Amino acid sequence: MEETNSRNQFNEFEKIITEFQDQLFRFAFFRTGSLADSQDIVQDVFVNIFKNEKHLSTINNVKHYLFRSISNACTDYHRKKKNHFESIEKLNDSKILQENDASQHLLMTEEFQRIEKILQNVPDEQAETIRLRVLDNLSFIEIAQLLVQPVTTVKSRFKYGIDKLKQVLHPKKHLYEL
Amino acid sequence: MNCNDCKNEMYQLADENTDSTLRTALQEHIASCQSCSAAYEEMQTVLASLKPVTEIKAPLLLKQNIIDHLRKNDINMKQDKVKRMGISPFVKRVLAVAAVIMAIVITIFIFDKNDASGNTVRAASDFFAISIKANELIKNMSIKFSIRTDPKDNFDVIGREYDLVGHSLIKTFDNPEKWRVEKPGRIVLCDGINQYLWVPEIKAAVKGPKNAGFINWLKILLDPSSILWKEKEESGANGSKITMTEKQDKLFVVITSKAQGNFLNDYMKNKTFSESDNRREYVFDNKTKLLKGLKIFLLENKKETLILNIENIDYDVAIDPASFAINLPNGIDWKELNLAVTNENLSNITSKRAAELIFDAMSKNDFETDKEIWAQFNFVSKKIMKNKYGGLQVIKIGESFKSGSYPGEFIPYEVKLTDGSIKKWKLALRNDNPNKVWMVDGGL
Repeated sequence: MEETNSRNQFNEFEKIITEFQDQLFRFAFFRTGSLADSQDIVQDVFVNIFKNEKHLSTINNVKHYLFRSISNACTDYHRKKKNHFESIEKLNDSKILQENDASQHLLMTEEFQRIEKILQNVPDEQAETIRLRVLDNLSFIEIAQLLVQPVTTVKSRFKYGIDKLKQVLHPKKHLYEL
Repeated sequence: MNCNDCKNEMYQLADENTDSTLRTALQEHIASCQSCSAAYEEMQTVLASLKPVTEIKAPLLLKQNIIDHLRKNDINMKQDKVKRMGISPFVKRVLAVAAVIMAIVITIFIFDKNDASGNTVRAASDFFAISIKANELIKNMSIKFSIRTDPKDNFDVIGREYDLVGHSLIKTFDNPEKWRVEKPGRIVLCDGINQYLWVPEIKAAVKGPKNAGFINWLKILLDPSSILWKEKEESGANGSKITMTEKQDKLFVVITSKAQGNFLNDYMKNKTFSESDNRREYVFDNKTKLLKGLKIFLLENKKETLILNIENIDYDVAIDPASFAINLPNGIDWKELNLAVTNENLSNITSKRAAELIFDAMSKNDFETDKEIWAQFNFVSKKIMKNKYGGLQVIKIGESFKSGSYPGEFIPYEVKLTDGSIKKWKLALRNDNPNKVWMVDGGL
């Protein structure tokens, strides 16, 4: 009986990992810029949930729960790292990954740096809202739940962020229009 | 909807969950207004610039790593429960050993996480740890493998110049452990108390202690987890390269390593696996995590030679208990192997001097005066040596040398045999026995 329960828990967990691993990994990657650290974060989150909760079926909104956990784990990661930009600068001489991972990691790192460079033009709160919407594909309502903010606040952060980026990416046109 | 409203609200089109009425109104206005259409295009350009060109997906082994960790956690929890239930001293001892192993596993894992050698190394190291854990639960195994060897020679005669010879190995992990290794014309088995070597062709039957070296290097195959421990501990070290690939229900781990050891002399290079540039190709069952196959290739000047091929390993199969006994033919008895011999003539001298004495004795057909030379040989093998080398003429004996990790020494020689043929080779002598007596170990 216990064996069957255990197997069911594993099967249940395996399905959830399959469904969410890409999204959670992407979330962690765009907050850390490190493939290895992102793997660790996602792995730790799942292992901790398994240890503490076991029955994910008892959680009302699994997606929200997982994003909340991964978000907290990323916050802890930065708290430990102290300075987010330090970690970005360190990317160039970061761990060289083994063979087949190396080229993929390089491409991913370049993408991370390119997108971060764009987002540096807007305040952190707006940048994070844009990340959650564009990169993590969360709806405004889901973002509001995750950030524990009113939906209107989330929407205005997104709008002002995008408007600012429009000006940055198309400066001449906007000056002309003004 | 007017232009101001549209420009203020068009960002809501970036969310698929936006109210359909607002969405339709925005889309209709944008379709009919050039200015708002241009503003919408601009927003789309910004959003597109924020989308990664490269698909960001979780690495292939992430899920497997997580599952493996979860299983490990589950096992630990179950062990905790067992402990609370009150357990026998034997089980306690097993668990204590397991706890020590786990502590080492965890220590190595933490160390590997900080290792700059990368992701695959860590994944491989972690997988080896899981496989080692899975090995603890097996009761017996049956291995079919081929190795380049001389079917009529010792089990540890391995070299690229030989053909691949089929072997079989069975082992039970009972207490005491029993095993049997067999190749055409030669069987070694351990019944838990003694080791037995049986060579039917020459009717040689030798009985040694439980730890006798009748199979030497092949011992490592008796415990696949010891291979995995070695790989785990050395993963990423010495410039080894590791790749991992999942295919259907199998996981393939390929490790390419440079030669290690003392290569002041090249003789031993490529004589043993750890002392050669080589590639090991492991195959694991992805479900059970158990080792299912292994190929070892020697790599020399872009040429690769398959040296060992473990074709299959079956676990927990039916094994006939009679497999761990050999019924000798009438008139043949087991000869006890005793290496704790003494011989003043053969101790406290150099290996070259010992070789000179050995060849001198062989030239005189004397295999009895200093019989301790042949302590590792049974009477039949000794008889073969006598037939082949008795009465030889020494042409030259060279200077001894050490090589690789071999505990003995090599002495080059050139002799003329009674059939007129010339033999030029290297005698292997070792004196790592209790009384430091030089004994013939190979090279004849």
